[in-house]
Amino acid sequence: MKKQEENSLDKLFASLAEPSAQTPSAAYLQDLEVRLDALGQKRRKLLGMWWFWSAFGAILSIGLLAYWQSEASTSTASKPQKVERRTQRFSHANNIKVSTFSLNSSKLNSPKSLNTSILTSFDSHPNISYSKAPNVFSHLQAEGTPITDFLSIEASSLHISVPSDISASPAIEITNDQKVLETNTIAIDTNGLAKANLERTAIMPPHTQKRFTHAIGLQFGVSGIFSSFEVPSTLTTIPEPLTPKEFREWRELGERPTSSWDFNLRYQLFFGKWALQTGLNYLEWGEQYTYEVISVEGTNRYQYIQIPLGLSYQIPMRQILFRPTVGLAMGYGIKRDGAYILPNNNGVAVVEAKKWAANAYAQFELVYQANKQLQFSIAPVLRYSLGKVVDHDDIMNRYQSVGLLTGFSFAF
Amino acid sequence: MMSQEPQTELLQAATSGDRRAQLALYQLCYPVLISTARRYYHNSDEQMTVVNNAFVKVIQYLGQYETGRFLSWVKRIISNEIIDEYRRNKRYHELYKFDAPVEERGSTDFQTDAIFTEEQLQQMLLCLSESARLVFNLFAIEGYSHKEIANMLGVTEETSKWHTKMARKKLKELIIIHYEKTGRKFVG
Repeated sequence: MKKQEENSLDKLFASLAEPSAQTPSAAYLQDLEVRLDALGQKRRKLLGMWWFWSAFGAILSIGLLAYWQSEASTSTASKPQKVERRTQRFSHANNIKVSTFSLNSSKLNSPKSLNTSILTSFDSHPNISYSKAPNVFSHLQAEGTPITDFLSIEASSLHISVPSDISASPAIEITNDQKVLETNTIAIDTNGLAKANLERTAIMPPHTQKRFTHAIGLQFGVSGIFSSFEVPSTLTTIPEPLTPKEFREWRELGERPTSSWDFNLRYQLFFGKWALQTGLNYLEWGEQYTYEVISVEGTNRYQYIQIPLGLSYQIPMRQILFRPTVGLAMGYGIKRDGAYILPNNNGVAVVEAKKWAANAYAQFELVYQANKQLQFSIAPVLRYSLGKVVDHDDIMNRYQSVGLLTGFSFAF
Repeated sequence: MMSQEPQTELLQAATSGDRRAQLALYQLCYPVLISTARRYYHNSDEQMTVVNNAFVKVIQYLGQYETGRFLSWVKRIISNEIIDEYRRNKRYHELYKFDAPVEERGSTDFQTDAIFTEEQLQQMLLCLSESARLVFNLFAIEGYSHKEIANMLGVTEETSKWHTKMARKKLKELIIIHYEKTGRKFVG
């Protein structure tokens, strides 16, 4: 009996399971739109994560490639210096007189092996005395000196020191790299010693200090964005607005900082220790919101493309540079819509941020000078919006952000 | 009467983010969503919140929906959303108070021959305590077993039974009051 009673009661209420035909009101639809927008933002955030790591990988790859190329050219240029240094040491330390021969350029035009038979075919120079210098080449080679660099100098009338004990020399390889040497820098003294300030001027021309140098680079990073808002003394939203104090409390409760990706393409003009910086930056302002009273959550993101203009001062310290920078930037809004709780707690207000927004920034860049051209840097950066980014009746927001940028620049 | 099932094209368009398709799907799901929400909440803001949050989840997980009755799937989502909402608000804590074995009590024999409107039944449900309303809804209307309810809410089966019993008792009282107010008799 009791079971039957329970069943009839349950059955009575089970009829509520069947939905009746109803249509949503405009308030439901408006509320849904906001939630769907927030869902879209979440998805975009995931996409943003993918984009971040892809960009990070690309920048790292480009940086490493630039570094590798830069290192390769530096090491090529430094080879003859080694030849010069070792040749000098050899000449002075052993005081060996060598015979000087004219080198037949036709035999050295292309990379090939220069073996002892070729060397013995050199014509003897009439003005230079000859004395024995046994096993010169093997001595140099034993030290790991690329003697070939010395011999491969390309010139039709080059006089070059060759030890007398030519037969003891192993085969010598000539490569194209040595063509950069200039023949007119070689001097053979009266004792037949090759004096070798030759390569210094040939390969490493005296560095001329430019008045201006330039660099381009990329910076990439993450920032934390902090908003501050003003509440007008009289709220305009109707009906039944909250008091300004209550509205402020609701907003303080519901809004919190958010984070953003930063991406800078930059150009630097150096003059002495000073530098001017400009370029193209991607910047975001915004905040996260969770208005529990109306059960709405999401993130406002105001996206700007901006042109900065900054002044830097460089403080060198060995391979590290400290480069503090201050500057201003003017940005153009590419995404400007945001949502905030209405002052009557009855939904959300959709607002637009300013189309043009300026900000001041300061950064303290720590630069690692990988070589003369390539620099890697890491820089804490502080930005502060100048004026209100959102200025919309009851919603007035300013922003500041603290970020960390990493990147590289290439001097030219 | 259950609303009509959506076409595959509509589901695909909604999954791909077509806002128009999403709103069309919302219109289709709305009767199921709102009728469920009304059984749990009397505050219209709370109803709107749970209906729209559930629909956002429908959109979010639409890619994972494969076959079966779409609106039953939607119904399960809103039920889960309501349970989640209870958990978020920590209201469900009071469920733990009733882990004692169900005490069998004598009850008035009851049969109803009256026809109540949907609104009246909803009003009666809304007079229950939140926990009793949640459990009774899940058991008597949604058709979950006590074991399933216990798993969903993280309570024992005995607790689920206890809340169902309390809900029935309260509903009976409300029906009697209703009869007395309307001057009608009930079979008892």
